[in-house]
Amino acid sequence: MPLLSAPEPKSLNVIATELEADVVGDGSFEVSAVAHPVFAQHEATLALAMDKGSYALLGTTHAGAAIVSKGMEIDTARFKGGLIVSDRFRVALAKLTQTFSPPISFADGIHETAVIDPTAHVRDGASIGPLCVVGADAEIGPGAVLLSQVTVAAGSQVGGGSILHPGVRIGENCAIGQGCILHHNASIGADGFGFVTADEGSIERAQRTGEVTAFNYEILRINSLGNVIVGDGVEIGASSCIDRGTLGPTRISDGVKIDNLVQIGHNVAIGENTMIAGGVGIAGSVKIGDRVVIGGNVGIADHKNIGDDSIIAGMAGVISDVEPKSVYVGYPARPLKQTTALEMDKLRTGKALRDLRSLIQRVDRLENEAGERREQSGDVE
Amino acid sequence: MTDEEIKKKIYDIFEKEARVDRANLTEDAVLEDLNIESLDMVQILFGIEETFDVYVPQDDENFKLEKMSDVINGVKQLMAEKAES
Repeated sequence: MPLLSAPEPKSLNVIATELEADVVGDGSFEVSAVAHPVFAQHEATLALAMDKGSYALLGTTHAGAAIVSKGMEIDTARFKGGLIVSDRFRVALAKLTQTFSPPISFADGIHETAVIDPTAHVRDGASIGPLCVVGADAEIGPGAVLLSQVTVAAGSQVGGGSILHPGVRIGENCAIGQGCILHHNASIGADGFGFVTADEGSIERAQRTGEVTAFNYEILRINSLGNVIVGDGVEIGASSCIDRGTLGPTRISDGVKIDNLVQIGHNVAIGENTMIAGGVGIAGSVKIGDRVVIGGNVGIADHKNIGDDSIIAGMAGVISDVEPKSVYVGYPARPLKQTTALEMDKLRTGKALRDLRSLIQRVDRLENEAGERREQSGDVE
Repeated sequence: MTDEEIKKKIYDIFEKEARVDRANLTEDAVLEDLNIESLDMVQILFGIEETFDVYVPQDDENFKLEKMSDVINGVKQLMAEKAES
């Protein structure tokens, strides 16, 4: 998570131990920042050069140390400090960017322009920025940070150590766990999209008969009386929306990571450590298991069950349940093996049709030639 | 067709359909490490069918493609089966 204070300098030996990597050269050299080789601003920087492109730029860096991938040729003389050699680039990137993240700028206490209801509870060490609004009986946990223009409505809770970036809105009676990060303009607890027609409507009739012979003249609203419960260590991207449940909660479990512009409908339940990429739309009452990975722009139809540890590839359209530990792709989303077989069959069908056309032309030509021979020999049928 | 010709044609297909760097195309290469998209793999399998005039089975437990050598040996096996039939 982002640091709330400036990172402490660390020696290469300490960093290498944390990354389970090796050090070549001076392991006592200390760094206080990580950067791309080109953007290193001072010597106490660790240049990230684990791919070929950035490795090639090491000669121009101001950094005094570097981290490279195993197998890369190493010129330790180029650096005042040593080199860290790792074989897991993405893991190293995650740990290093966490360790050396620049601090978030915020003031202690409650800003004078914030509006805090007298019955709200702001715990020790919490920070509430300019133009925030905290409603009646709301609770802001210890060390939680509300940056500018955040709304926490009446009866809602924000867990200790959570960071709510500018513009986040938390609706009434919702709960955000500890150590969460909510990015700009995330909306938690808006009403669900629930409407019904007074008489049988177009969708119900079409589902029953396959035809549109009923029409939606009168639409009734189904109010959302439930809330949203978000677990600990959850990250919610910018402008993502999680609607409140109809009667019970919409539930996001511990460790879930949600990218930007994700729509999560009412009554949805998402299991632990599931990751959801940008632009995903999840309709109401979908149940998603633990450790699921959902690629960008996936759409999931209402009431579907997504099994634990499944993977749904980007742009897939899910209109049936997804099996645990499976990979689904395409529209309609199907298991990868099945989709591969179907795509192969499409290509084979195209080839078979081309071959058939060529065969027909050949038969026509042979028939014409046979007819001409018969005419020449006077053998007329 | 010699073994070398078969290998070269297979490498040509991988290079054309999935833009795999020729330097990474070796018999020991693990297909997963080549970062080939699933739809590109479909084009590769179809390219193999067209080039060698064989039928690549999709759900055959005996036809597992994990390394490049599996692809090369698989194609040889399919060509041999076709010649026998």
